[in-house]
Amino acid sequence: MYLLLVNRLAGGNRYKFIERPLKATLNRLNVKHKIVTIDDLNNIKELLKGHIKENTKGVVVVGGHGTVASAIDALAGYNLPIGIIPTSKTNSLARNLGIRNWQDGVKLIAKHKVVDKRLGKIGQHYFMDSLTIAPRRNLLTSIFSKSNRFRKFLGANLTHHFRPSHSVACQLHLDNELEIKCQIDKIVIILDDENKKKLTITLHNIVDKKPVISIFRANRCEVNSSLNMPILSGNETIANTPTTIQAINKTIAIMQPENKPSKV
Amino acid sequence: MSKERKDFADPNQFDTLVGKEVVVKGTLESEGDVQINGYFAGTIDSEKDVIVSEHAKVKANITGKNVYVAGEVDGDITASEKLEILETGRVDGDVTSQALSIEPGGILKGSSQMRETESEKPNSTPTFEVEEETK
Repeated sequence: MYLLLVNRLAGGNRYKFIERPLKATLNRLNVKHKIVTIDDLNNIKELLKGHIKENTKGVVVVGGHGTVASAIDALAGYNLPIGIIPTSKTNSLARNLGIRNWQDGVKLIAKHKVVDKRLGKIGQHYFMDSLTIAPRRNLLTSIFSKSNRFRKFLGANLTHHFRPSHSVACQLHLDNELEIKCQIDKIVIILDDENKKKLTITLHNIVDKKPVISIFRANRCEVNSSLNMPILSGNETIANTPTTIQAINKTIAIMQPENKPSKV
Repeated sequence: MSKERKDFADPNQFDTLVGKEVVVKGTLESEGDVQINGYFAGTIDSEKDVIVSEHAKVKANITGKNVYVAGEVDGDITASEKLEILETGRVDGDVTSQALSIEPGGILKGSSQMRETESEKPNSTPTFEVEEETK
């Protein structure tokens, strides 16, 4: 039996439009399930305690990236695979797993392979995949420049050059061995299973109007900055600087399409 | 395989890449290639290649497989294979390597010690013995 944790508010209440066809598809595919509604993303742990039984084969999260992140947090102590049925477009983890829509997510429950993914920790929260740290204005500028279809239609140059005034003074401590100081536009931290299970930390800055990147690997990264910056997992802000991010020796089982390579 | 100069700019080649105007202090231990384009102070210990590019300033002892210096290094360098000081490179320290190359314009201020490879060590055994005279 699969436990479906549903966030009805995700994707602008999208679940109410897909509820009937979703249940019909689950029944047609003969997937035994129990649907539980999430009232509060902070209470998922309590919800799981009350509903996970011996015959629970896995937990399927129905919602967006924020819902999945909260569920990963709560499920870190359980030995159950997690599946995703995306109901919003901000579910980057679902996209990375090859789950384009709710129909793919439902089919996945019926037929999948289970892959262990490493977890990272930021503050007290767990995360998978990657994090982005940047001044708010850089994130907004990036979003607007990407979505400007009118400029694309005109054939205008879409490349946005961040100005030095957009960068923020940052100090990073890696594994208590390296101290890094620089002006950054963006930091991207990837939890890289292939790279000896460490974090891959990429710093982006602009020098003489040209983009410059730096790459480091570490198990633990402390980030301090002159301005508080949001830390995004997908499109969701999960923390702010200053913070500590680490690769930890913990994994979570993920349901993945059978024909998808293990690398996410 | 040793690097060519065209490889220096490719960020995909490197395990660690210190960008321009980035200041790093501490101990860097790496299992992959390291390139310094900014400022580094401390110790660099790589199992593979270390590249100090043209605008870089390094105040550290460097250990690597092949070491290429196009910038400034103030410290000792130990290369298990090759050390190459390029035309814009300047090393102020002692160096140890199997092979050493200094391009015209490159500067080395310090002593240089060449390492023997296994193939260079004499492996023949003498065919006679010297007998000591007994009185």
